[in-house]
Amino acid sequence: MPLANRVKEHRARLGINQQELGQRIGASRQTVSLIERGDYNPSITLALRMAREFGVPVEEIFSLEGEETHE
Amino acid sequence: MNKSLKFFLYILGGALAGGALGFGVVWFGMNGIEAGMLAKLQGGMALAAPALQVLAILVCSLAAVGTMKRAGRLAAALDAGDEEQAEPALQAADTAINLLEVQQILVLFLMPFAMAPGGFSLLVSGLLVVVSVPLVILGQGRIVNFVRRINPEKRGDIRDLKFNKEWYESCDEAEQQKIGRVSYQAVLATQMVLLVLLVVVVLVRMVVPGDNLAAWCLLAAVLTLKISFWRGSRREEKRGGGAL
Repeated sequence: MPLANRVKEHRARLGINQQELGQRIGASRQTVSLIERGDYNPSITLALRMAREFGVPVEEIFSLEGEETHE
Repeated sequence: MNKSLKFFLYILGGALAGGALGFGVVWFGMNGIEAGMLAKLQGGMALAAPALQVLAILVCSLAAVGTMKRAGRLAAALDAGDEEQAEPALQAADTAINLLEVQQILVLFLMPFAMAPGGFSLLVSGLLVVVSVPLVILGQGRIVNFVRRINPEKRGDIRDLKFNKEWYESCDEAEQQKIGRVSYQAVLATQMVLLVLLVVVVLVRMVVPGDNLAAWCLLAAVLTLKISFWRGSRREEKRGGGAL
């Protein structure tokens, strides 16, 4: 089942670009871009790092497509 | 279609094609046609090889320069804040580096065809290789620097023999997975090509007199591929990655 994500939305909230987010979570700008487009499902480690960076639970960022994210 | 039937048909097709090829080369050999044909072909190639090398250098280099100019414009848009331009810029750089690799392959592999009595073609061809190789390395170095401008975390110097290893290690999980998938496809394709080449070498060897250099080269390629794959599998197992 495809994974939906709200990475772009949370990144915009923090006011940082893909490069900066990538540096903070230990990924490349290209990978952040792939995740945002839904073309790559990150590992659990990367998803947790992202959640820590955004200050939200991981379920708030990623969800199975068709299911609502936790608010 | 039933898988067993499909497999049987593949084998049958291969056997028929091999039989036809074998019959063809034996027939050519018996009629002595191959000697004249080969001499003409070699003479023509000796003259054409340097011209083809010049063509390859001009076409590939100019196309790479054009592609990098486009990549530069996209990178400027990225610098101005348009993040959507990063991917097209990297794709353009990738195309440029591939063009230079094609140039390198063509220039290097056309050189043996330039061998002819007198050696003039070979001399010109060798000079073209001497000119092309540093040009390609210089070009690839500039492209790598361009990619590093967009992805500053990337490491490695193109002039260093450990470049590929360092570059790979500086890639993150998504990029390493992608490299793994692409490499596996390349291994499968190489295995298939080596097998076909082995059949061709055996058939050609039946009619063309000479040594077994081509067969030895193929064997070296197969062994390199297999041993490096086995070693990689063993390393993965030791790391706890399970058997491949």
